Amino acid sequence: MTLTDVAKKQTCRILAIKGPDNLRQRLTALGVLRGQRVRLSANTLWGNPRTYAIGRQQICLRNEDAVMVEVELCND
Amino acid sequence: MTERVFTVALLGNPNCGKTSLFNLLTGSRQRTGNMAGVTVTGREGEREHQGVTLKFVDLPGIYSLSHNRVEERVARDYLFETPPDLILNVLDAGNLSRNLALTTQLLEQQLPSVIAVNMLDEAEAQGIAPDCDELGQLLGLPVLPSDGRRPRFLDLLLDTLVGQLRIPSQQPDLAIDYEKHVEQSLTQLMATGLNRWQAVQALESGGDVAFVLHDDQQALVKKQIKQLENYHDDSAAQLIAEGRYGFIHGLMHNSGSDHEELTFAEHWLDSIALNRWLGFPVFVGLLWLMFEATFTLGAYPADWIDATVSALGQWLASGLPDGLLRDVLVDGLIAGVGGVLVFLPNVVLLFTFIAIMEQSGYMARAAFLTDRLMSRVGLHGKAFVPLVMGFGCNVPAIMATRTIEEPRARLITILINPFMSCSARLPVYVLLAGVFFADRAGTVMFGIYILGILMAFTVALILSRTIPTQHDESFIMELPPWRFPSLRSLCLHVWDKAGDFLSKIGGVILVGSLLIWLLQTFPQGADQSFLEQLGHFLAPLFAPLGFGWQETVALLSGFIAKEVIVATLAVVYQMGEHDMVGLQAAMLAGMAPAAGLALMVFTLLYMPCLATIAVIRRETGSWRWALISILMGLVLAWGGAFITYRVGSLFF
Repeated sequence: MTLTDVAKKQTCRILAIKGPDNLRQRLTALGVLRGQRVRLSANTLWGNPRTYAIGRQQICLRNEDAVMVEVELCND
Repeated sequence: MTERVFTVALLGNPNCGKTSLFNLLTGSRQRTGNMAGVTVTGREGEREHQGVTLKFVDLPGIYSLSHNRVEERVARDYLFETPPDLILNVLDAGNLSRNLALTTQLLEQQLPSVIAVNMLDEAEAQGIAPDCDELGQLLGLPVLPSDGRRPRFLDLLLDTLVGQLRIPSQQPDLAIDYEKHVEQSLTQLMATGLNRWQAVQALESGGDVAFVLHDDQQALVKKQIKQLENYHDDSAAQLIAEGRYGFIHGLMHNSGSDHEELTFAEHWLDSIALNRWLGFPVFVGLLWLMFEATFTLGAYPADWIDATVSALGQWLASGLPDGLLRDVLVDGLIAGVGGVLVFLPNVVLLFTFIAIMEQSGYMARAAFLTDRLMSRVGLHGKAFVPLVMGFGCNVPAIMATRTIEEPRARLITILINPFMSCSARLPVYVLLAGVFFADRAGTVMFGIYILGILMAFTVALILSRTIPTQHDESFIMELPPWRFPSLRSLCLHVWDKAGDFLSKIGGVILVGSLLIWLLQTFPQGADQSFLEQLGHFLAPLFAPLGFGWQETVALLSGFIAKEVIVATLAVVYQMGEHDMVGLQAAMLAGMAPAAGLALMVFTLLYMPCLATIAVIRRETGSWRWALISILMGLVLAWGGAFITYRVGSLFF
């Protein structure tokens, strides 16, 4: 699954970040890395863009970019 | 010891409170916004301490030294070309890990640094304040608490800076253990003569660095990056970042916890501001409230100023003998300048609201809420801040578009910015809405602003279809934490803006009023003044819009600066009366309400003022776009005013 599939109240772990180099570089700089836990923290009327929370950070992503982030559900 | 000047550069992530700290250190007046990228070029300020002059440079907020964005390049090139004597690395105590990633780069490069842990009060309130001494020992350099809002840690910080400048402590030698393939690549690069940090940076940035890389080194970098990509699914930059965070994780483990959760208050605020269904209505409601408050609250002090100005006019009129001197003072100066001065409270209020939105962190959330709308017309959420700033003044707003990287999106944002009604146009609306729609003034003004926004979107849509497209830049933005605006920096900011407005009154508007008065007074004894002649000559052009020669003249004068429009109306309508009440009565008698509305629409849409034209020319790099902006404005204004007048005549 990818970030866009994450529902409210679910916590996920980042498996891989794909996509063009500048997207990966940008996300890396913001501290979005493999292994981190992510939640969906806000959505807009249109369902795009959405905000994801990683720890205390909140990052806005358009769905076009969010599909590049592969995640898995955390079971704990 | 002889006095010396030392340069200290402030460096840190966006929204770490760097600019507030800079303000506190230098006492300089400039804006601090809670939105990534407000400081695009470095600012400077000085301070004396213990007989040493410290020159502080405020660099743009960046996340990394090796990612190829405009701000990052500015900071990286600055550090490389004019190395400061010392770097003050500012960290946000509430988000230490991410902030420390930049620190590890500074340490790898062995740049002389002192660390200031900012926003400690926030972190303390959440019980996540790091132990500065512990962190300092682990990193091997001075780590101090700091507070951009209050001077409580200032002396200690300054003492340490001066101490470090006089007798620098031993530079720590930081070597992060990266993943083994990365280490192999680094070894190969170092064999070509690069330092370790240079090799790291070359890999991390894909070879785009400030120092010189020879062609063979460049080729090797590309080859290594490709190889790493093959071994792992991750890019070199990702692998290196993982190494950095691994190192930081170890540090944090030793020096205090890294907080995970948002506080209840933050959570609660975001659950409303970013609510899927409520967020957007709340945003529109807040905008409406802002304009309503600007009008209603501003009316009280405006009345006092008006009363004072008209009392001064009457006092001068009765005290001076009849003649030209009395006329120039009373009908020229006081009528013109007083007519604009009345709007100072409105301008101050509007800037206060915009500054509060920016500093609290709401502006970034608004960008998030509006991104979808913006993307429909070829813009993105980041265009939102410059557009809202346009409500204050289009000149800094157009400069703020530098945060938008994609040239086409930036150009469109620049060209539509003049449709965001700046505060100079506010006096015209306040006057006209007050005259013709006294009961519904706030609503009419809100409508005018909305019209400007709709026009901006329409034009953006057309432009985005006509200007050739390049690849769309994605919208990746960090939401800053909610922060209570600091009264000190709010006051500094508003005081600054009020000062701008007043100095304009003292300059452009003073000269404009006098010029208008001259044109109106001479030739003496003739049937018609120069001004009337000019007005009558051009009036046929504006007659279909319901404007008389007075309005024609006022609009002409607005080419210089929009504030002059009201000053001109005051001068041409005055005819011996000295107050706004008199002007309002005269206008009510001379114009239909529909024409009043049309005049507001024309003022909203027609060409930008001289300063804005100059800044459009500078930021787009050509007169072509400045000319297009002027023509587009004039055509839209005439058309819009025509429709407004014709349709409005049916209703009023």
